[in-house]
Amino acid sequence: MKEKPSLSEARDRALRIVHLCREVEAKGFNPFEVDVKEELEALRSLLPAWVKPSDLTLDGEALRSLSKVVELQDEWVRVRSKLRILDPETVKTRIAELTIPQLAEVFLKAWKPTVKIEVLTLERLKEAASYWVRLKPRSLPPEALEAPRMVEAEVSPETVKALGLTLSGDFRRLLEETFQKLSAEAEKAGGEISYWDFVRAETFRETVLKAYMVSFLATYGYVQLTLDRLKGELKLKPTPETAGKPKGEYSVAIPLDKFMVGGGEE
Amino acid sequence: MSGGEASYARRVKRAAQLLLFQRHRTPGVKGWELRKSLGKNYMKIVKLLDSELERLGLQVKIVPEASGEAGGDEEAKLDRARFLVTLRGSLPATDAQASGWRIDDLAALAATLAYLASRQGKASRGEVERLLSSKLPSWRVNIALDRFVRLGYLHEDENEVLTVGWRTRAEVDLEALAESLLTISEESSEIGGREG
Repeated sequence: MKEKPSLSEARDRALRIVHLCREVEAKGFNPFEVDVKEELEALRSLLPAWVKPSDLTLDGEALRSLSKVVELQDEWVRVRSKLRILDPETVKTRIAELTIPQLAEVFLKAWKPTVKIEVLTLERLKEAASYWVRLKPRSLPPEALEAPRMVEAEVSPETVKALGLTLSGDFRRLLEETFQKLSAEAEKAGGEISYWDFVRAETFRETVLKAYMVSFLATYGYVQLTLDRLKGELKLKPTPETAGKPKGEYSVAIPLDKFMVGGGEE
Repeated sequence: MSGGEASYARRVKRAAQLLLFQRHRTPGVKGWELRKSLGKNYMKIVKLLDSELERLGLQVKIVPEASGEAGGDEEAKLDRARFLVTLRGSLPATDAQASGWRIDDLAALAATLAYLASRQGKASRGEVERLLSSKLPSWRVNIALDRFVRLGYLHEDENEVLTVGWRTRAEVDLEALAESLLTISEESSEIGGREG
């Protein structure tokens, strides 16, 4: 015959059972890791040690925890059996029967996507810096790779005018002149003209100015800018019928590279 | 608020930051990282955070390591487990599409995971490609499978064997997927339109 356990031993044992069951429940571990039969026998053997009603409460708590584990075991078997009936042939048949949207719906019903917030971390910055350092330089003269010096300062309108950087008050006249010139050249060329043939000028400064004017003409509907996809060539076509009607559907960025476009030192 | 309550509140906020801000290539953090930052009883903090997130329709998900790597006591298992935040419910189709998922990619992932589940979690890439080719053009099949591997939904070993990836274990209820695949009515579909 087994010796009657002491009260403290009985309490420790019951608490261990409660703790074990709670861990399995809270952390989703395999509930069959708990030997329910053995634990129930242990609880039975502790019965003679309980004296006060509070001790019996602990016994009841241990019993309730074990019953919860049995419930989890039932669920565990149910889930596994459900996956077991999913044999490859059934899956193939069902996939053949269902449409793409239905299969997508099957996934969405079972999917609980991760929620995350992306931030720039020191690690990512290091990766970016390392990538930048490894980038091979473009095949341009070394001076072209030097970053332009950015200067922020306030200058008077007179200084800007003296440098030839202002378009003065005759912006509209300049725009009209450009349009007339473009229309004439396009007419000669059969209705449309190559963007670069029109924009390219003696000096880089003039090229930039013409490109600037053309961008306004295109924005306000005076000309249409199209891309010949076969030749990769940009074309300009005067469209006086839509003149003055701004086009806001899309914008095109055309880089002006001094070395590619050409032009003098200016 | 007492000192103890304030300490818990501070640590719950810290846990939210750790779980939500992506610090590594893969989302979430390992249990040992939480223990290091929140203290030994970090599971208590995680539970508090989970109940806070419930109000927002989110949950803390604990993803144990792949079964082959399991071992050690419960504390060690939790140390190696990945903790992350997922939706508590499912995502509407429109939201999935808005976040960049194509309907045919979702369908391909459903078919792949169901097939893997039916093969005890493992199948050769060739088999899966043949299965998906009955539904999608083969060039799309390869792109889709590569994407699933890259995102962590699948794992591919050097022998071109596909297994369920860590992200599937975190985000996909395979039981619900199997049940849905078997029970969905052939006539019904709440998802329309944009397949291409």
